[in-house]
Amino acid sequence: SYSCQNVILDNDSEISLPENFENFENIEITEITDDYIYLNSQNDINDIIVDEFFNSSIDLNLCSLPTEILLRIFYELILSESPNPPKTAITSLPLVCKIFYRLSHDRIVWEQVFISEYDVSARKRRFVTCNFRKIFFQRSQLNVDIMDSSLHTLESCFINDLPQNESTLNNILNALTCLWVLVSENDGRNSKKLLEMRAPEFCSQVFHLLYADMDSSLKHLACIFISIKIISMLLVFGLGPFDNIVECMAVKLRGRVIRWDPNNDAVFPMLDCHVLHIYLLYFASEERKPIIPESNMFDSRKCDKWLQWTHMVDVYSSNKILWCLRNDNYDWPKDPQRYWTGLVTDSEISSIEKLLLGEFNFMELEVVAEHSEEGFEYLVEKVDTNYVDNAKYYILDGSLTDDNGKEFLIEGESIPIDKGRRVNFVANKVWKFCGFMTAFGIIGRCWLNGVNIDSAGFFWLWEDV
Amino acid sequence: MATELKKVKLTSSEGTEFIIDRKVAEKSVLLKNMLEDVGESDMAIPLPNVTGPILNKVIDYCTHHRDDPFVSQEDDSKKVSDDIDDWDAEFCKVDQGTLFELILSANYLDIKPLLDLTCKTVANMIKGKTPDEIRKTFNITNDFTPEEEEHVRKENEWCEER
Repeated sequence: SYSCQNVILDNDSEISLPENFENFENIEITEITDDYIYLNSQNDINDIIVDEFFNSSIDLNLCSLPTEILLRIFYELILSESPNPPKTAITSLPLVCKIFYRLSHDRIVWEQVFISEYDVSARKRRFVTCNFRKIFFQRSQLNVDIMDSSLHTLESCFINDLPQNESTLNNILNALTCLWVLVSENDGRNSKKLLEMRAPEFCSQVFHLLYADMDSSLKHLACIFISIKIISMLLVFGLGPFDNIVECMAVKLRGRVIRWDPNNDAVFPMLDCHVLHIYLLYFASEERKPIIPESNMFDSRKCDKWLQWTHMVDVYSSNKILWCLRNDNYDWPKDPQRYWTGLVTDSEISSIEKLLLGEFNFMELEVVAEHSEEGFEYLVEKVDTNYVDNAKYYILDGSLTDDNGKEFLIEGESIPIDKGRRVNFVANKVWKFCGFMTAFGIIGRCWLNGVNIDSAGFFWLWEDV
Repeated sequence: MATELKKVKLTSSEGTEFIIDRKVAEKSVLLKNMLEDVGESDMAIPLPNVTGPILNKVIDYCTHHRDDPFVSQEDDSKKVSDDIDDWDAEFCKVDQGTLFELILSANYLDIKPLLDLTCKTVANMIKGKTPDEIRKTFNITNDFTPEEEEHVRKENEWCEER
């Protein structure tokens, strides 16, 4: 034994060995001074101290760690499998033992993981409870490779003139529904995800491949509808640039835009709203500032039983098509804004004729019998969500001022309909405006009394902040 | 003239004394707070929950990372487990008992980067394994009855649905 018990380890730290420490024979000592013993192998001394003082008595195993530590490990496990689906965390871990079963279902960990990847505010407002475990797993199943592969399969059907396989369209629809949920719940984090997954390119390709056949089946229609909606909302958020994508789409959409009659009870009026939105945004891109991502712009979804099955399972199973076609209600703002800015274009949308400054008063109108529509009752039925339902009727008055300073008094109404909210008003008793309210504003057509709808112009009003 | 580095004295659970730079000690939030509270003192800080060999490993880690920027809970951006650098990976090549002790010590001493590293290391040991392989790796007993096991399997069937 040495008289000196002060040891310098090779990490420059200094230790004083316990007085009864005697096991020096296995230690490689490089230098001994009056005060210190210098060692060149810290690992040796570890082992020796362990042997001497603990007799290798460490009896720890994974399951004996405190729950907070196990949960932390579990969290890291889920992240370690990203961007692939967390298969070990979901399928293997629960089967190991009862402790791990409980761990793998920890709601808070799954929520934290979900929040680390996706925006959550809108989802929490929409649904009282969310199965983050399931939703996270399902979302992580989607990636660029899978999306590309679905597109290639679809493309080869067209190139080789083969009938489109049901599963091919299902895969496309799966990807689109996932992307749509991401965009409709976007507060910034989802947009990053959408761009990583090349959502604009994917939607654009789906659009170009299927547009000509969009009326051939509900699935085709759903694919087109949702592709257009995603592009439209990405444009609202100012994500991009993807000018080429928008230009190609706008050119193709021209015919539909010109033919659109918002007076008609179109089956899917929001499809045309989004079509027009893309079209106008392309031609009037300089006029419009993007909306700052904020998911509560989608908060006023109508209480719709059809949507309730999405409550726990997201939108990946059951009847996807119905969901795709009916989720217009996500576009339905909660409280109409009072101040609006906008534009009016001619029927050719070749030039922007006017800029409008609008002050609208949406005055809530007591629902009276003649305003009730068939099936209206279900809109006000209480359902299990945090949503503020907006099934209100408003009478509308206010004024519009054009860019020459000329003021037009307006009067009209705003009516909830099954698939959106109509906003119809007349300015100066001669200009008719007929459109729909969407998350990105009020959009529709306008014309002078006595003019044919075919030669009507278009308008788009957006919230003036 | 070089200023003398301040030293801190720590005592492990079995009484081993460690004298280390204050800067190294302050990688531990627990020690940092204690030192701030106590001020200048030659008294050893007792660490009854940390054994000498583990404390030595912890000091190794803190010494190596002494100049790393402080990472708070809030600004800890998500890092995947593959991000473990070579030195850290080598540092974690220890037996399971030591690794778990390191986790407990990092947690007790509040050294977040070390806690992250060690938890990630364990996570990587679990990743990609079947339930049986996980049990074998960590010497865990399967406490499910066959019926319970079947029930859990059924619960997870949705993972295969697409």
